Amino acid sequence: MKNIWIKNKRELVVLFATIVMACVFTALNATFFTYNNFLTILQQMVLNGILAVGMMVTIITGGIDLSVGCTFAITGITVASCTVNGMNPVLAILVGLVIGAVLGFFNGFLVTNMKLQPFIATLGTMSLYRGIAYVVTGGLPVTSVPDSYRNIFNGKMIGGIRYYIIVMIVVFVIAYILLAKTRTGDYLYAIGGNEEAAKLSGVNVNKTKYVAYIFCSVCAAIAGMVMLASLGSAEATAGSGYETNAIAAAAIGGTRMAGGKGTALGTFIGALMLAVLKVGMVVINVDSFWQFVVTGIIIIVASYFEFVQQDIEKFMVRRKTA
Amino acid sequence: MEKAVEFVKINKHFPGAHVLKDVSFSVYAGEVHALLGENGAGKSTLLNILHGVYAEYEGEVLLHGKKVSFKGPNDAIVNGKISKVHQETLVVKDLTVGQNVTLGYEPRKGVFVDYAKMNKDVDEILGQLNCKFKSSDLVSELTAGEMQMLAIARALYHHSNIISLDEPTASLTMKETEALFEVIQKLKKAGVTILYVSHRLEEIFQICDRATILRDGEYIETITVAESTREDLIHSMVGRSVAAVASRLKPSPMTDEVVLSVDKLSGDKFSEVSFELHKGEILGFFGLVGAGRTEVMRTIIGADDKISGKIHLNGKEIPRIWNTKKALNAGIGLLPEDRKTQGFMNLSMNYENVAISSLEKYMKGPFVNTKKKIVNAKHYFEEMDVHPRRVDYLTKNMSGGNQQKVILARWMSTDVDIIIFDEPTKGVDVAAKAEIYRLMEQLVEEGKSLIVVSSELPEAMGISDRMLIMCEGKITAELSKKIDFNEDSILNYAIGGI
Amino acid sequence: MRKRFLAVLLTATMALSLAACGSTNKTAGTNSGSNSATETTEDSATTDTATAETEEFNPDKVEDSMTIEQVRESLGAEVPVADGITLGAVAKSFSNEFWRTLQEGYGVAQESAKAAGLNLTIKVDGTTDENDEIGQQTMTDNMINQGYSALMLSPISDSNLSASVQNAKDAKVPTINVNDGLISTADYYVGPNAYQNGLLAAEWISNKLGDKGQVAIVVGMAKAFAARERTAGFKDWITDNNSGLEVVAEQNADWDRQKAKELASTWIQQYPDLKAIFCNNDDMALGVVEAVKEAEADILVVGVDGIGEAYESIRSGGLDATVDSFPYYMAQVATECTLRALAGQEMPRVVSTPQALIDTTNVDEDAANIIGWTDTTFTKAQ
Repeated sequence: MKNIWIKNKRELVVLFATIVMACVFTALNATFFTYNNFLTILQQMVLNGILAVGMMVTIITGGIDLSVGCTFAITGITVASCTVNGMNPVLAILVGLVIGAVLGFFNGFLVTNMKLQPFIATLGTMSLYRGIAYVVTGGLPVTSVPDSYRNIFNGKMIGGIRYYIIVMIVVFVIAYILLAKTRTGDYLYAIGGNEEAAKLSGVNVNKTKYVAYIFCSVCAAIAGMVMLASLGSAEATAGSGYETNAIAAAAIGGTRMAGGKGTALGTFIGALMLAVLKVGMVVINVDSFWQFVVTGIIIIVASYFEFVQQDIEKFMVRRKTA
Repeated sequence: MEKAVEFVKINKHFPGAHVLKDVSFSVYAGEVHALLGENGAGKSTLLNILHGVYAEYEGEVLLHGKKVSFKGPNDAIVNGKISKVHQETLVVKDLTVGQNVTLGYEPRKGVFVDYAKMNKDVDEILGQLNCKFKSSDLVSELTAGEMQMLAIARALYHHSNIISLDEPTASLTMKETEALFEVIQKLKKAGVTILYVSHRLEEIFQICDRATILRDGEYIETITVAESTREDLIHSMVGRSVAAVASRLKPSPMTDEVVLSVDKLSGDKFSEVSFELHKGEILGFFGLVGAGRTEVMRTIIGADDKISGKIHLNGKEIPRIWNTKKALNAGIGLLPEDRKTQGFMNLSMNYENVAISSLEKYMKGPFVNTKKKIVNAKHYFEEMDVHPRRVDYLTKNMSGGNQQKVILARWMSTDVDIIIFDEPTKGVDVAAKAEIYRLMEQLVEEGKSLIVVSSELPEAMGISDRMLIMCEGKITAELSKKIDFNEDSILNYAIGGI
Repeated sequence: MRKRFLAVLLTATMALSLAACGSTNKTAGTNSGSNSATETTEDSATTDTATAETEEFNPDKVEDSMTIEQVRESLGAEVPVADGITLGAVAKSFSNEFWRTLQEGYGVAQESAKAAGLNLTIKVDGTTDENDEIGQQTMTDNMINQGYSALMLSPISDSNLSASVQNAKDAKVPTINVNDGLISTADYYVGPNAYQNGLLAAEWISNKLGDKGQVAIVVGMAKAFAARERTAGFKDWITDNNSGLEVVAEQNADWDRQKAKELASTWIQQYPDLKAIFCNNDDMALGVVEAVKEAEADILVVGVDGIGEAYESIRSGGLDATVDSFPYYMAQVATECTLRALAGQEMPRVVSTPQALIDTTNVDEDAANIIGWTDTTFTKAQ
């Protein structure tokens, strides 16, 4: 028990806060606490969760990727056109993943070889990718995506769980393994902790950053494909502003904005918390204007978790010494 | 004599550590008082209490006989007339000298900053300090020594009558150090009390009146410097006798085999540098700060790009695309000069910092295994006698000498056979220094070859088998026999004389 | 340290209680909202339009507004056009189908004038995105400086073009506000009656459901006039007709398809008896359709705008209905009104453009037929 606490302090604090929040919502409206509503929450965290876990990896290196919403849109459009024109759905998904990888590679190229600041570089590609999406589609939505494609993500299994929930969990597990179990993971944290020191320790900084940006964009591509399956259509305007929610989820989950810190589990719980908040406010029928206010306050409060976690630690130390 | 500062039974706890234990002593007004002790002895903590950085502690601090408690460092500067010049001077590089000196307390004319008055006031202070730069100069153009002067000017701007200097000479050239000492004497004459922290014992004898020694958070004694010897001080600090200067205890295992040869290498800050490194050799690289030694080393390990020239490792020329990863694989590594910004990962624990360069050794199937990393780090902590022997501590919380050992453990965990030490004992206390020298000898004994870049002449002379001297980006001399090492002529080469 | 912990706890509680307050306020808010709406109707019945204008301009509530048919009847079918007129039109982003169609409509107007042997130029400009308020202002000022004869403006917000309109007034260039946002100082307003939008939708749902059951509303971004009016019209119809329909939920989805879908999924869980969802636009409605399909629920979905995708969805049995405001014809009406004003005709302040509810019964019918459109008759001015 103590071990779990030591290893996952931040995650547990956020989880606890999420549970408290869920209890409040249940107290205000009992229909919040139902299996179906639980599924709704899971479904609604999928897009943000997948985007956030990719975003987190770039943030861990001390960077950021603001272009995820646009990568999301481009992938949606392209995969939609492929399937509408009769391409095999599985092949279309591969095309989507490749697009994600290529766009991520370009982001990586800008921040490593071109030595641009990630914020500026991806701010640029954000507009660039969005523009490409408009140019390619002429602003027209792509509709009537065949069910053969949609069912891959949208189909249901036992308990009414949709496949895309499984997709999200798989993405998180991959991120967990990447960060916690592989050499690249150690390199990612090292670069975020001190890039110069990592470089002088013989870490191939550029290569590792490429991995981060490609991973992030591939996540965005997966999210885009899930959205396509879920809506059955794609638009060039999709996903605008999604990057901010992704950053929020990662930050709430304990990702250090300056880099070097962050876990897949934390980001999962961060995204879960935002979904609970979103669904909860709809269930208890909070006015739209107030939803912005409350979400803002929760994000600010969540940034205090860092201190709460330290306080609990100090408290435990004192009790032990007393 | 008036007591400017008086500490009464100071106790300070950090979570899990009692860092100051009942420390009591006084500093007389107008003296230069040294604060001595190994890293981790509690000197910095004591200074932080004095300067209002830590508000929570037990005991009392009296300034000129009155009990004080400051709300923060600024409160101490403005209301206590007491300033601290940091180990690494904190400045805003993009502002002018005047703006930095007056930062937060700029002279005003209405709502606007009165720059004319600012520059006039600051130039006057700089004049007292014999500085060559002006208030309107940009800080980014100053040298390390000039920045130190800037920090002192800031203290004088606030009319401080007590100034602490924490390792002020760590990154200064000899000339700058001399200039600093002149200023200290001048301040002393003007009645300013100075608290002086340094690891360089010779400096203590040069400028200090009395010295207080701390060890493991405890007050040991306060002595009059003129009546003590170097050995007394060291004994008092370490609690046992330690060799005070760098020296070789074992015969050199140096061979004729060339492991690294550099041929007419040129980079941004150096040109046409050529030398060879032999197996089992400790090659000293002496020069003044800014001579271009660090840049040469960074280029060799692939951290910076070269402009021209050739590098051969074990007889093979390095490939056109060269980076630190390839250098590591080819068997060469660097312990950087500035540990904090280049050495260790700030958020990582010791075992992680040790493991980062040799992850392939801790694999279990396809995954990195944390337990194996810990076992490896523990092994080296034992072998190198790292304190505290906790591989799960954050490296940034270790003392300078022990941080250096952590980074050395990193390279010893790899298979590299050429290790470059850049200023290996900067900010490292006497006892740890001696241990690092011993480790270097052990490494060459194991068949590794070392390059030691140093600005401390006794260290370079004591540890090297052979010595190269650099000045302004060029090698000005090679001294291949120990008997040729002569202080005067080395210094002459280092400043570019013949 | 415990203090800080407490502070955080307190802030969190505060946030959540705000949420709770928000929810109770909301019901109160909706009530007062519909009250004030009915009040305004009563007010406008008693007070004249001039005072209404000085208070808050609402084209839906202007008493002497006319349809284009009424205009043609009272002023004559022929539109006299002077030679060499250049009209400027400023729209929003052409990445949106609605504005592309409007652009097309302007093109048709220009072509048919040319076909009548007239020398008329309409220059249409659109912003790069739907938030480029300053860009739109620059565009407008540019047209004023180039000496265009009149400006047809579809501003992004209610305020971003007010300064430009003042500039136009100073330069004696007439301004015609086409569709929302609203410029209260513009000379004329030409656009659909958004309030009526909501009425049409409510009436249709009531008919389909036998006037009873739970309904929910997905609103667009709240700053938009159209969102407010469409929602108000929908709710007022229910109150005014003592309808058995009950609005159980009303939430914002920022005009975003995915957000609307998520919102609807939550509602479907929460209100098993939900019978219909009205959305402030088609994009959101199409998202809701996906949620309904996924839940295999039997819920009517009605949108507004009449975009191509909505038509397709109605044909394939997804969307149930949409209220089309025909931007294609809106542009032509706007052009006609502008030319009439330039010819010195006495135009009403507000001309409401044609709109109609489209469902399976008329989805394949010709639009001109549905709204009874006849082309503008251009003649050379004397």
